[in-house]
Amino acid sequence: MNKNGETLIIGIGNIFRGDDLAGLAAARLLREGQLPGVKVLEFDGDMTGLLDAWEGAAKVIVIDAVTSKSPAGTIFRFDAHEQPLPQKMFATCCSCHAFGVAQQIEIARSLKQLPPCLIVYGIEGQDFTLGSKLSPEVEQALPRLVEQVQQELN
Amino acid sequence: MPSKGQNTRTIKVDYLARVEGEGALHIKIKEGAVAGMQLQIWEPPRFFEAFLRGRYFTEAPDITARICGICPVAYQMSSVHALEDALGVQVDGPLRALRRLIYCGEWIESHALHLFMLHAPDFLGYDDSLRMARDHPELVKMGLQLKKVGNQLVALVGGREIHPINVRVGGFYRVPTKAELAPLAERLKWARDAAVKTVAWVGGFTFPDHEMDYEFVALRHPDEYPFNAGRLVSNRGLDLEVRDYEEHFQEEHIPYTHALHSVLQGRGAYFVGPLARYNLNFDRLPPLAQEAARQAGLGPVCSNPFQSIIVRAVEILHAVDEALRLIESYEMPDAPAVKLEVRAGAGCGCTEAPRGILYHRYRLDEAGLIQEAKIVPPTSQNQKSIEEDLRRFVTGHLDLPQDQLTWQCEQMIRNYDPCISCATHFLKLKLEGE
Repeated sequence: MNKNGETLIIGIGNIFRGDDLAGLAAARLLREGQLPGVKVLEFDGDMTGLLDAWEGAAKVIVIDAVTSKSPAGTIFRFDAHEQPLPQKMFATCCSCHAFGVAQQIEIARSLKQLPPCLIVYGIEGQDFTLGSKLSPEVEQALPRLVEQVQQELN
Repeated sequence: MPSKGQNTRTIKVDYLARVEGEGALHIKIKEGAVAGMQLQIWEPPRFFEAFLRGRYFTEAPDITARICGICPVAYQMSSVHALEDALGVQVDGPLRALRRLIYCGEWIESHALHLFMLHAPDFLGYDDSLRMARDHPELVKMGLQLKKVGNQLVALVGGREIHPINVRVGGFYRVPTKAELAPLAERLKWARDAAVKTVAWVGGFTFPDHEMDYEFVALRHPDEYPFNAGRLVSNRGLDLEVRDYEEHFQEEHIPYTHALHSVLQGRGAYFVGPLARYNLNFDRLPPLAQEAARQAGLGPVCSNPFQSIIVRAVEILHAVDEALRLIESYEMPDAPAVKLEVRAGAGCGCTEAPRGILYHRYRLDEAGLIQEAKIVPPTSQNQKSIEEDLRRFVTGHLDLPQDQLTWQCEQMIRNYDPCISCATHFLKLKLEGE
């Protein structure tokens, strides 16, 4: 359970699937920054746990890799209270649980369990091959993503 | 895209949703008959058997748990039983009870996920659980809460929810205190009521007529609805010790799939999982679960795989009830694990994963290093039955509109809750005519 008013950063990804790691990598960089009053969580599988993870949090920032045929490393920002998340962009290509983060967020909306503030960052990946590493374009974009999230917190 | 010719028919679905993992299905229909049926599974869990060679035996539960994020406990249980068999060790008493308890947690979370989020939309006419959640938020909330209770059980006994790290050959690294288990009992009492409601709810669905003469295979124990122990039995007279598994069950390489097909020698396809367990062990269910099943319209035998959703609900109820019983009677063991003496040997284990029997066999050298490992997951055992079900269903329903036939083929596959991440990951369905 989170303390009321807490801010939560949730990085999502699979460390063994190339650019799918991007969300986790960003979260880890943000954790290293030791942001006061911010809790950083990592999710690598079961998205149904998101609803429990953010229960009680005032502000939640979710970071995940996306695929939208944009150049690798492109950063997207969505305010979940302003628009539904584009399901295709957050497709379940790398989830063996049949649920992607977008779908889970929309389920949370139906259940009225969205946190008061929910911002979702997507970072375009290009290579999700099992056993591969982050592509250089995604790796180069990470500091920019981290900076944007930090600004979001201020 | 669907199309229809004079003598041929093509149905193609590029992505089959609401299954665990990645694979594909390809059906060819020619002259009004099914000419080809391929359930293709690409991801290769077989490599685990090679990864294990040369590893110290204590690593097997944690390595094999990584085969699946939904049923890691099953892999841990089958591996520890097989390795204890190789080392000549028996684990009893509270440690055995704790193993049943963690398995209850896995069944609850796995079944609740499949039932509420993946399978129920089929019967209510929704494309996915997201659309179902809009119209039935309370049901989806109940499903997620039930799943959470299962997760909490696994986390408490296993150290964390996914890929638990507290299971070891001989027992556990740490055992919970009675006081640590007590709060869960309160959650489980809520879950028991929720499970009763769930059985009644899914019992009210409308099910397509589809009954086949399957050979069901499951464990059977003298006193218990099976988790960790029992003989391997079937409704056609099979009655074996687990050690004789490989004399009767054979794995076959099939060119179009990475997962091996399992067959019963000389008999062919067989059916494992909740329906098989239920049909072979109805009398071992607690009265509460039996009564709920009857109220939902199920007799002691159910041969319609579409009704497996009711059986999963009954098994959730059983697992919740059993977890409560185990917590109430729990006494902390003197030690978290029994002592092991390393020796050369071979052993096997078979336990009831949420999706059916999971067989492991290991051979160790005198230093305790694994020389050989064999793992047969439930989904690869069900593959042939799934294909035969589809063949029969498609043949009997060629008059259905294309979209409906395709939709029902997908449902047919979901009846099995295939864990393609175990057998492998992603299901694409392609039906085509010539």
